[in-house]
Amino acid sequence: MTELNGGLTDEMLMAYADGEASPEEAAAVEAALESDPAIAERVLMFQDTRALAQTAFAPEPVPDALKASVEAMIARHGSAAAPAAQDNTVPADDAAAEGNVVAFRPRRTSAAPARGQVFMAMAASVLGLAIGVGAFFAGSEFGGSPPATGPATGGVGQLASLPIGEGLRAPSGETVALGDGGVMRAITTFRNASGDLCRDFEVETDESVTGVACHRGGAWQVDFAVAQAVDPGGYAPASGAEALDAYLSTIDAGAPLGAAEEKAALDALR
Amino acid sequence: MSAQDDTIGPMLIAFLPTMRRFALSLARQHDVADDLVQSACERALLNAGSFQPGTRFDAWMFRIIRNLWIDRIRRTNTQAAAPVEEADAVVGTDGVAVATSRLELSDTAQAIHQLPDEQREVLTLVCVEGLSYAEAAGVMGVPVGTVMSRLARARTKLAALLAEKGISVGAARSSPTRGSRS
Repeated sequence: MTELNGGLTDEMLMAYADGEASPEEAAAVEAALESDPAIAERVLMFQDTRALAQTAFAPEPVPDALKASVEAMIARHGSAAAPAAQDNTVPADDAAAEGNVVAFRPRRTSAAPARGQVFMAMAASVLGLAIGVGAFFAGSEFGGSPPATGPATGGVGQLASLPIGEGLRAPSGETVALGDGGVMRAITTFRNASGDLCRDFEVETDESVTGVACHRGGAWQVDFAVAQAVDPGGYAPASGAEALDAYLSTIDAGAPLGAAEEKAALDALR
Repeated sequence: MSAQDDTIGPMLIAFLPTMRRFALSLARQHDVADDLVQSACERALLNAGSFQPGTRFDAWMFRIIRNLWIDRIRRTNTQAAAPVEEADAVVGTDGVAVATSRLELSDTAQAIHQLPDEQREVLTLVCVEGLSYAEAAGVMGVPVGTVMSRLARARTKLAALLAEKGISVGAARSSPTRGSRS
């Protein structure tokens, strides 16, 4: 079952997904993720099977008879081995759970890549998608330079020439005309892990673009934008909505603000 | 006896649900699983001194449970034919029959139960119980490389079984493993 993809074996891709790859292997996999959707898909498969298996078997409540039997067994051993310490051998679920037991269960998966990261790498290679677009919008006018980096082609690239700042000040759900028949709609308002006010939005012109803009340093910055896959018949491993979900999970997006909170937060920017 | 007896008792109780889950993944019958767990606890108390502080207690217990399970298969040699959850009741040590719920398996759990024993075992240890490859290798008594190749096969097979049930794994919408492009 080992297959070679430019020197990468299935086991290496799995080890990467599980956070067990060496730094060299992880770097090789990450480089391949961005250029080969098949590799990213394989890593996602390994991540998904782990996640599914984890949730498939929740521990069940232990039958009283079994618990009582083990407790009796422990008491017998305790009284035989250390009569003076018998009290300590009486089961103490809470103490065990909060005390030394925890120390024996070190979490090991911190090195495992988040599913969103892998997904984003793949999305970047198959969709018109740009992360860290670098387009600044001050006030209602586009006030920065066009994106210098990133595959900002087609639908994503058009953001730089559209007056989306106005739409970013409108209440969520309200449609704002962009001229030339294009419209834009902010969907929700939330805060990212850094506390920046952010909004996810849709722009519809000839194409549909979904994006996330955050307000930093007195201006809106588009941090993420993805054009919907335009060829419905073709190979489409990712949709814009999935990519957005994945992105939101990577920035630790908070819950959407309510209408009143949103208004207060937006007013505060003026 | 070592002073560890004091800590092993509470840990056995704390890890009962986890031990039971692992035993169930091997035996696939509640009564057999509970029997395994009980025997494993007895053995752990007798051999408390062989537990290495600083290592995972659950991995140590899994190894004991696994060894007991293999002994049992060798003795009875009937396990392979055992259907999933025949028994509805467990007889407790006090002789009272205790009603237990039947195994209600999700699609994923059903697919995992369809895996060959050696694949189901490694998948359970790593993906369900969260052991590292090395820890799983220790429980199973095989090299890490064997753990990895078995585990990769297990997950590939699981993804294929889930695809048959209409559950897509990975990001593919139309193809279970890879797209039509190369």
